[in-house]
Amino acid sequence: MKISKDQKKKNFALLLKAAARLSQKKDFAELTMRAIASEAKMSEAAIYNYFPTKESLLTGYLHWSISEALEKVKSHPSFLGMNFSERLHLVIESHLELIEVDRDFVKQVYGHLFVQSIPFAQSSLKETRKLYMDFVDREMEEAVGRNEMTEPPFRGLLCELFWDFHVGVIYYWLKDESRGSINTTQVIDLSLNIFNELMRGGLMNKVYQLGHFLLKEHVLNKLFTLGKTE
Amino acid sequence: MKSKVLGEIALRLALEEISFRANSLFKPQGKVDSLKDEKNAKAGEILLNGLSQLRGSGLKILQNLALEEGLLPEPTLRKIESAFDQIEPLSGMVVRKILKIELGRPIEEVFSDFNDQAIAAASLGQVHEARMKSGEDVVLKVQYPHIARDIHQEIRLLKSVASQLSNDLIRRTIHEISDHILWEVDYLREAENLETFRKFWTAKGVLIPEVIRSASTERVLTQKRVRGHTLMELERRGKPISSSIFRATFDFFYTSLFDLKAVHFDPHPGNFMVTSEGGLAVVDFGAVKVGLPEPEVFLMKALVEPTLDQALVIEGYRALGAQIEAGGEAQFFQSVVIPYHENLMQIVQNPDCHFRQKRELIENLRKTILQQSSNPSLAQLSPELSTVHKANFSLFQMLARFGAQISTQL
Ligand SMILES: Nc1ncnc2c1ncn2[C@@H]1O[C@H](COP(=O)(O)OP(=O)(O)OP(=O)(O)O)[C@@H](O)[C@H]1O
Repeated sequence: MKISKDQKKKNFALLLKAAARLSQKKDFAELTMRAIASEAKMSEAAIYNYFPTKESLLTGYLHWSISEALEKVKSHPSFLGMNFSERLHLVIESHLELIEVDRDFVKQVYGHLFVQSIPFAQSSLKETRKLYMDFVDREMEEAVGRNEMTEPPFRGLLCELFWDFHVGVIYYWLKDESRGSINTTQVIDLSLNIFNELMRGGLMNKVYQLGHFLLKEHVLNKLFTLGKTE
Repeated sequence: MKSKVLGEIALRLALEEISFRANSLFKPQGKVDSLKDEKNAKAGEILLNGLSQLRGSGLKILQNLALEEGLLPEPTLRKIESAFDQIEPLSGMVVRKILKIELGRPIEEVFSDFNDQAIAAASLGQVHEARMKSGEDVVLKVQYPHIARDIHQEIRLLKSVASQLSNDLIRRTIHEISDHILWEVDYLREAENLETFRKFWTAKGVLIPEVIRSASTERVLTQKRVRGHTLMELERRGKPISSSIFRATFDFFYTSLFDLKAVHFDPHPGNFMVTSEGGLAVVDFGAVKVGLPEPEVFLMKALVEPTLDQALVIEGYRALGAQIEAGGEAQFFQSVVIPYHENLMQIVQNPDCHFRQKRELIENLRKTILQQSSNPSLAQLSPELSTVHKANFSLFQMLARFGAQISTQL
């Protein structure tokens, strides 16, 4: 049976969502490919057409959700009116919005991919990373065209930095328990402000603010709770 | 963090107090007095430095302390003002996210237009302009994140800081202000106040903005935009303000008090607007109390009568907790009530009151009320009454600042 490209894309997402759903009840390590396939109402044989290994579900999930987010922002009603850093901010927020329902799964994705650092993850995320960096690169070019910023030095390096930043923010978000994850929004905002100020040459003030915010919301709060008898 | 700051304030204030006591032990009285001034100035500094590190409620408290004239030294006041200028507004992305969390849907679904640039930075939040999908122009007050979460703990700590102060006035003021801040942090309460005032005032020609309930929560208040300018803006631009507006603010205060039994604690030039039709509009109903106890209204009313009825006034004071001995009524009336009333009558019930010339008088009235608690028969008097009085004097002070010249007959 031949299936269309669209159907393929759909099945791909269905399987990922199935894995995410199951991981809410059970540890990902304990899941079988058969169980995931049956949750997605597919045969075990079919799943291997999409994901050759169980691990590829993890990288697949990140790739799928990031490309969805990149797609989604372009049709956002406010996107065109936004400047470079607001657009990047929107990408992260859209991504978080998308993965919010799968938070438990994302935790496991992160645990497997970044914390335990499976070597293969690095290489299989290459494509995702490239997709993301291409987007940032294009946006930066457009921002220069709009006279929003001057041609940044080390553009390639900056794109890489933004990718790392995105990955880092998700990690932060996974641990963020503030109402509506507003702390994450503030971290993104302050960090992107740093970038803006950096571009304008007035760095110190924002670094201080971010440091202050992190200190206030995290380090000190932690110390405070540690000091309390539970 | 905040509790740490407050803890530090408390500690430093306590140290200041101890060193004051140690220093004054063997000093002659005159020397002790100047030490005392020095200590209070220092206490002010410590409070200021600590409080200005707290964005939300700390600043709000500072702002209120600054409003209490004569409480803080001049250089401290100037520093407080500059602390306000230094607040960085929340960026558009953060505001949008807060709105999304609060309203439960993306703002594009609620507003056809939303201006990221805040038009006013208030102490607990910031004000934005927007247009509803239905076409109405609105302003939104968006509360800074975490204010509501932190406020109770902060206020508790602040009160414990306050109770270590030897300056009775600062101590009492902090307690009073704390209560008001707790009200102000709930925007739904403010929405209710707005609606109560609006219902009462619309037919009487004062514009109170309509609340858009569908876009309001505890932390977001959306109301129809008033076209016009605040008295503050008009003053800054050197624009003339007609005396009918001043008279209207005067009526607004007293009629609200007597007929609605409600008081607007913050009658200042940022909260009154002149509409594009030339009428009065009132905004900011955070610091408002609706449903004042009957005896308070009764006494306030009795005190502005041109001729005082001794029996009624005494009854009014007693109902509010004044301890006037039987047989001591006439003495109390002569020594406490009459002098106050004589001063008050130069302002209220005056067919041609030049407020600018009354500055000293207003200040004296204010001091009389503040010092009431040192009179044993008034020590138990309801503290809320003095808050109502103070709101009244804030109105007078505002009118004096603008040099209003109006009839104040009621
Ligand atoms: N309905 C309205 N229409 C037009 N402007 C408004 C309206 N409501 C508020 N504003 C503007 O926003 C400013 C701040 O609003 P408001 O006084 O309600 O905030 P606030 O948080 O209570 O401020 P503060 O605590 O500093 O007094 C007002 O001075 C006024 O300029």
